[in-house]
Amino acid sequence: MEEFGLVISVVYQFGTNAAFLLLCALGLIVILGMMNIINLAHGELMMMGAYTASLSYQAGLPFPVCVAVSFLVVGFVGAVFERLVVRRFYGRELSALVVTWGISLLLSQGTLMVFGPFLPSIPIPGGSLDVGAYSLSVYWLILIAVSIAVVVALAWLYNRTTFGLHARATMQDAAMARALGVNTGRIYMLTFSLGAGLAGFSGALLAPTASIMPFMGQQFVAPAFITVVVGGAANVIAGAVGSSVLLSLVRTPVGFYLGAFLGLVALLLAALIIIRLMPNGVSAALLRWSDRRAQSG
Amino acid sequence: MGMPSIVSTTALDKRFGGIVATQHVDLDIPEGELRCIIGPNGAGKSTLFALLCGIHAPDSGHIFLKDRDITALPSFRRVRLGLGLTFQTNRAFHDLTVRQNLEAPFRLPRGGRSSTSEERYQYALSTFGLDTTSDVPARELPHHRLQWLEIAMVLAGGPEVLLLDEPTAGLSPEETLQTARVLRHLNDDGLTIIVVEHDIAFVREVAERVTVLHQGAIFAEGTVADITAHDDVRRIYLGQA
Repeated sequence: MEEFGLVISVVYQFGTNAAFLLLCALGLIVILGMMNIINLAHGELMMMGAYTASLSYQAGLPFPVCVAVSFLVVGFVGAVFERLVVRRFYGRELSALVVTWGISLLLSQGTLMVFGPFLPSIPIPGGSLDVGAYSLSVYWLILIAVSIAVVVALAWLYNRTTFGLHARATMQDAAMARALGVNTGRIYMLTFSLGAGLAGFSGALLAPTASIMPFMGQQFVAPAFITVVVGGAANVIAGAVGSSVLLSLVRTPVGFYLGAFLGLVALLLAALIIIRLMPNGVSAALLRWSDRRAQSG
Repeated sequence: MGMPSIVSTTALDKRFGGIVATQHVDLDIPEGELRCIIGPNGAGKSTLFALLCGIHAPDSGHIFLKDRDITALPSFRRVRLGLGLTFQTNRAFHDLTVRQNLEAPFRLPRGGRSSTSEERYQYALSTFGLDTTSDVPARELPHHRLQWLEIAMVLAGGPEVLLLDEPTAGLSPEETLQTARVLRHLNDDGLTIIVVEHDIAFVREVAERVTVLHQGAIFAEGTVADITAHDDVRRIYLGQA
């Protein structure tokens, strides 16, 4: 029974680590992975999601509704930023990087001025589950399920719907997409808005696990970029899933036996090594592997 | 000619800095015609193409599609009004499968393609040997099939006018002939086609009427026989080809 508890606990740790990376990466999968915009405001969009959740929770809304509100509010903010600012910097990666950095400063300092240094936190919903000597948080189990569900939904949206087809066509060659009648300006706006909304959604979901402060976004930025970059651009969604699994496979055992800090160090080292071995990311390696299999089979 | 014009331009001017790309181009393409626009390098063919499809805006002048002024419309709106475009370099989506490329258009009118458009589309698919259910990524197709895929993609949208920029670039003589046959057939079927082309053999194969551009202006216009017999045209263009 003791060993069973240990196994469950390690699997649970692995699940929470992978879900955390995926949740951090969600919005960035769309904005960096598909639109190729290095969005330095990603963390602040997540922060806005947490703020929206906290404010609407205090207003008496049930937590799941707060999460939905965060998605919509931050998605709307993203659409406004795209229309007014980001749109002017497509294809100019460095300019876009500086501009989104500017937006991030504006958002974090603006939040500090308007709401002060912190907001009341949201209590973690759900209780805990005891397995042998270990206890698992029900809320994290829900987060694991939600992160899987959202990734599946995203893959469905991009692979199975007309919007997804038009979006992928637009990202590959906007002029050709226009030549086939696609309103590419609208696709860009919707895509950026979706990415921002997902960042807000993740921020809201992670809000109960964090302190709600103007600069809270920074803790999510590094994991988000590492997950998406290690995943690679060949297939962003599969890549992000692959990289979060791979990185958690390294982080979990090290963290379990040597402590959380060394677990994080191991994750960063693993990211370095993976990028060294697979410069185009996990998804490119997966693609090559499946091509080879198809050819030999 | 009797037929009303489907695409026309009036006094189309475009300059890039000090360089005159097109000057006072009055084009008039009657419905159902297959028109080739030819000219030596730098004659303004590509600029005219870009103006017609909305990549560039003219400095002055107007463009009409079915009597509607489309000068200020972005290209995707022109496409939705019935213009079909292909570019000089192949622009099929390499990372999408053949099936997805053919599903990608896009300006499908409500209720799908009309029966004429459907026939044209199916004809192109079967003549070009393209499979709408293929899950092969487009990047694995040979060049001529990619070129044909792009034409089929445009036909999938059910256009009333086809505007092609050098559709035979990089094709072998047999593949060029095959492309010419398909375009000829589509035109016989009533589709208006405008081709910007460099390859004079191809032009001889397909065109009814030819517009020759020179230094940004219309230099001559007439049947293929007229044009190839025209001394000045031979001098500026054919002699060099």
